[in-house]
Amino acid sequence: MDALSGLLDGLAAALTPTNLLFVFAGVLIGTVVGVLPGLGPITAIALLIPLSFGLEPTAGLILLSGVYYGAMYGGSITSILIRTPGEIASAVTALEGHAMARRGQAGPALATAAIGSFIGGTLAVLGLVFLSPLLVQVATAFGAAEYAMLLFGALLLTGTLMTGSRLKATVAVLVGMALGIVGLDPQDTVPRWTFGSLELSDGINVALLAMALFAVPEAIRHLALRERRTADRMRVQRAWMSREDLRRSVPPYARGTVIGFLAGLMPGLGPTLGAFASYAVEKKVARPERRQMFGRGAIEGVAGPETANNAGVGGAMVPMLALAIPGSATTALLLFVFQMYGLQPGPQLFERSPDIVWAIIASMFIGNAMLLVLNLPLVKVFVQLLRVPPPLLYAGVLAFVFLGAWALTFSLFSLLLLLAVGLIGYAMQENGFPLTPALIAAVLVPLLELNTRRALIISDGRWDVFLTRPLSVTLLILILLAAAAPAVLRALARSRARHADVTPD
Amino acid sequence: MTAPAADGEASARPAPRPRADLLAGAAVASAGIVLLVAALAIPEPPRVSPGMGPELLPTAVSVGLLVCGVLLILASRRSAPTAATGVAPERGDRRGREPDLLDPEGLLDDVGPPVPWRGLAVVAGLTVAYALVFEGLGFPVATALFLMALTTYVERQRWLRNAIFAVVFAVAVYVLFTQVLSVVLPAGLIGRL
Repeated sequence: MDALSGLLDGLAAALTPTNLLFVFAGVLIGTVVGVLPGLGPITAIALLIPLSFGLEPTAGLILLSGVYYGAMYGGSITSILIRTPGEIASAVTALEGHAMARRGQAGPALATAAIGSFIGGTLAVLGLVFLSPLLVQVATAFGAAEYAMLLFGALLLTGTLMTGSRLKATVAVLVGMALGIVGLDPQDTVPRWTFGSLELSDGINVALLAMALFAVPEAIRHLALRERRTADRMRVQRAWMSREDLRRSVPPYARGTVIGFLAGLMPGLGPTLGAFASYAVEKKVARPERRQMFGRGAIEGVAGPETANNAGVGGAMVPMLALAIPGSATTALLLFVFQMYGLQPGPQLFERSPDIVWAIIASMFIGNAMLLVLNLPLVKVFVQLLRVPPPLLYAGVLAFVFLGAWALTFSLFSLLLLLAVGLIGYAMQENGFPLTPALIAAVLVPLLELNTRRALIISDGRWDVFLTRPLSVTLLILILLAAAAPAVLRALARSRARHADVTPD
Repeated sequence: MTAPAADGEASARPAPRPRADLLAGAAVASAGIVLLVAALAIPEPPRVSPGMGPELLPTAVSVGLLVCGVLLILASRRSAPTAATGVAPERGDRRGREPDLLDPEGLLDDVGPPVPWRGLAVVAGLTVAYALVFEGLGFPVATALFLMALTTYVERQRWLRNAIFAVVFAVAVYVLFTQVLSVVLPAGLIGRL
């Protein structure tokens, strides 16, 4: 099979000493940054982007993918031990994991998270290996109209699939689109929303946007609150679990992998959706006596969501690699990194640079295995990072993002832009506007405009091109159905809730 | 931020926060208006191609922001009576709120205590100052001063630890990036020695 030979070539490429070193460096740095409270994969990748400028594309992408799942794993340590998730997807882990830690079961919680991450991560990469080439074949039938439609759907779903207020998620999407539009129009070369600033005509760099929206608001918040002491930390002897714990964890691993991978394929929320769905499923299928444990430290509630979370990484990589449509904010950032190296994900990438694609995919297998080997014995070392005093940590983060922003353009302007967007992000975060959709939208909007324009040029300006092409109209119907589904489900939930209010049990 | 903190526990993001949402809605709507004016001022391209001009997407986005802002304002007015009763909702209490599909149990509701304006002003001010002296003083000096000031604002008693951290961080990062990773950082005062 084609995918298999590609994978074998990729393994050979990823197993060279240099690339092994980059995988190792990636997962290690990722874990370290992920463990630091309040910092997640997005911040970790954004901070490392300036560093990867000088690297070869393969090495740079292997490093940054390693950072991605390393940070996912590191985040689970923080969630379990101090209940400070670095991103929304880990919030679920924090619930049961921290409850377990409070009962003195931090070790089993960490162990099941590590093993679940490994299983979910590895199986999802297998899914990625076999699904991406299929999707690439489908994608060759796509024209500009279909791509435009898919991108439109991704933006729409990003707004609807968020938790919390849909209106605020929509605002976040629009803010992200606005930030992505600023600059010279790539086709007509007229300035848009630059307000006369020459520096803004280059547009707002996506790495800068990621740092501004994810690292700056978090740092400002903790510093302005004048947090001095680290959160109370649970003691960890070692990450290990009993036979009984393992028996309870295995079915959630299996369900979490499937749920996480499928959810990761959806544009918009990716891994987060999977983690929440897995938690809900585990609670639902639990026997009544186990269900009572949920909220008080049920190991199933750690195993399932952590597996789903990491399976979502592989899932979210599928549409990113095969269609150039990212399924999560982190893959949106990775898409930007590909473009930075002059590589455009999508069918052409598999055709023109199969070596790079397969080396990255293969490195994900190796990285996941390294994480498991690294983390089961070394968890006590990483836990020491939780002792970094908050003022030093967050002040250091601000200095680091300044360095990162400076390295992007070498100008004072990018520092001021970082601050301005950072304050917007802070105001949004404090008022319950999610920031993930904003980053995704900023990456998607130039692609949406490009493909819409291409489709319209081919059709000589007739907008009905989107409705007359059978493939395009099919996609439109699917998108509208997917976008309407949450509203319908919400209505059902509301009527059920009203019913429950009337007849309390 | 403006939500009345009931008992310190249930402060963060209790169900409806009418005043904050009113302000947020007003901010979103005004951003929409400013961007709309700017979008309509986008010049005609030198060579017009069929289909989509440069102003179409910006106009649509700004109109969208305006509409969402107005909807937020309307929604905040609708939920205002709940708050007028003065009964602070408990954490995870979702009465009067849309049922959340992803997060029905309100796992994400706990977002921590509100940030005081004074602290926000100090942190933002120091950060702006850091940006302004970044090039002039150079990375090592500016960073050391910035870290020192910021960490000492948070924790005055530990000034010595803060000072050591500030200098070590600034010098170590500077050396690492300029010497090992060959990223060019402004040397500033250090360079003039």
